[in-house]
Amino acid sequence: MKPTCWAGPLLGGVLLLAAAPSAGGQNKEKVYRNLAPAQVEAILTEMGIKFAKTQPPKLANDFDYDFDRNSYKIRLTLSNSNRLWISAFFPKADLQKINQWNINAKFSRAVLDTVKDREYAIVEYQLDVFGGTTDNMVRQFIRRFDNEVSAFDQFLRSN
Amino acid sequence: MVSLKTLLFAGALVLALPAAAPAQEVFKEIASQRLEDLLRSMDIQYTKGTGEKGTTWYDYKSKNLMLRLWNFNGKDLMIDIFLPKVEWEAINKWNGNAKFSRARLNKDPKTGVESTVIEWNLDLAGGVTEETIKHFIRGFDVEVANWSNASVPAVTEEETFKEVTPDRLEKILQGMNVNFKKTQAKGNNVFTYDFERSNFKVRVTNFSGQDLMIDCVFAAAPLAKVNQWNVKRSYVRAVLYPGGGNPYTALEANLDCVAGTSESIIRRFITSFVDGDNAEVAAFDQHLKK
Repeated sequence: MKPTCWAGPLLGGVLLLAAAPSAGGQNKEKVYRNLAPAQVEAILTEMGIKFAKTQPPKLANDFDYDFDRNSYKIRLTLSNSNRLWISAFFPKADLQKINQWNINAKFSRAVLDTVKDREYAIVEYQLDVFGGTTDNMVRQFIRRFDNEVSAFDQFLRSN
Repeated sequence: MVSLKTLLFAGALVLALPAAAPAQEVFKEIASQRLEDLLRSMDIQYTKGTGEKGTTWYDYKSKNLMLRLWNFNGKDLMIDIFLPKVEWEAINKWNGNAKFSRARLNKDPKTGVESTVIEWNLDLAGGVTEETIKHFIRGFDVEVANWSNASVPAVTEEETFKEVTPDRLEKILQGMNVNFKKTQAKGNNVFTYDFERSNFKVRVTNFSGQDLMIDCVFAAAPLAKVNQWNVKRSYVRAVLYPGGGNPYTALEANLDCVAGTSESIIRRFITSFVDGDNAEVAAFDQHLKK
């Protein structure tokens, strides 16, 4: 027997309801409290990011991933499986300028730091993996930093 | 008459002896009054109650958690805390590794609510000092903090959401026993929640459900000191604000919720900022005082 004319739209509606997340964009996801290097690498690869992986000599539980993104050199570090740290280095700026960035910043922060006897203005952002993170949050963390880096570059060039 | 030689020898002998530590009274039983005096000396405010067979208990708050100290007829003490239920594997793992405490699952016979209980005991029968009891009480805080870290599974399946509604955030805060004052910014979907926690005045701001910010204000500090903090600490940002001629320092952290977040992530975002001795605000406060 052919279904009656209202069965099609009804079935479609039921399917739509089953497929859509519940009210308010809610969803079930895996929340990780630690990340393996392979998980981070899979996300980078899936985002089309070609990286060079290294390990700091005295930090057995840290992994650095260096890559170019929008012509900026970015370093993503997975530290002790429970912290992601992303940063970009720029020429030294004075502390007033660094602080001015931090006044306006929301997700990143700027620091003046010395690396191998040379001072840099660094824009950086950390993700507390131990507090819980999802694959989507890691992707967003990297994407969000794209905007922060280019904005910081513009900011340093401004008077 | 005592010869000079004898006096010198006696003096040298006294100097050579180890300095005696101040004697502490060792006791094998503790009266309620003495225990209560001891709690007060530790600035612990408690509510007292009595149980069966001469037991006395004292409910008190530490690190924003409710703990209960039991006194079993002065002969042994116990502290316990009721926490959310976890899988039995986590209980077993804890009991396999813990040195002084134990974990167990508890089911309330009246409500049927299941909880994890962490507890530990101090036997007084062998003799203790007041310092032993103080150490026992302080040490339990550390044990609870260790439990929080050890009991969290590496991966969980949780409800995530891309918009933190005011209602949801308020429920989370209420679940954390936070008494907040809510304010809505004029003309937009920004809500602020002011509250006091661990003796710090803290503000959580909900920017249209898209991101959360938590901050705390401190006295103005030199920029070098502010930068020093940002160099050594993760997840937060110390900032010196001009404040229209009244400069101040703020410690801030943001949680980007655009890609989804969960209630446990939000709770952790707040507690890591403000709860405990190693929380961001407490550590920053210490940094500024150095």
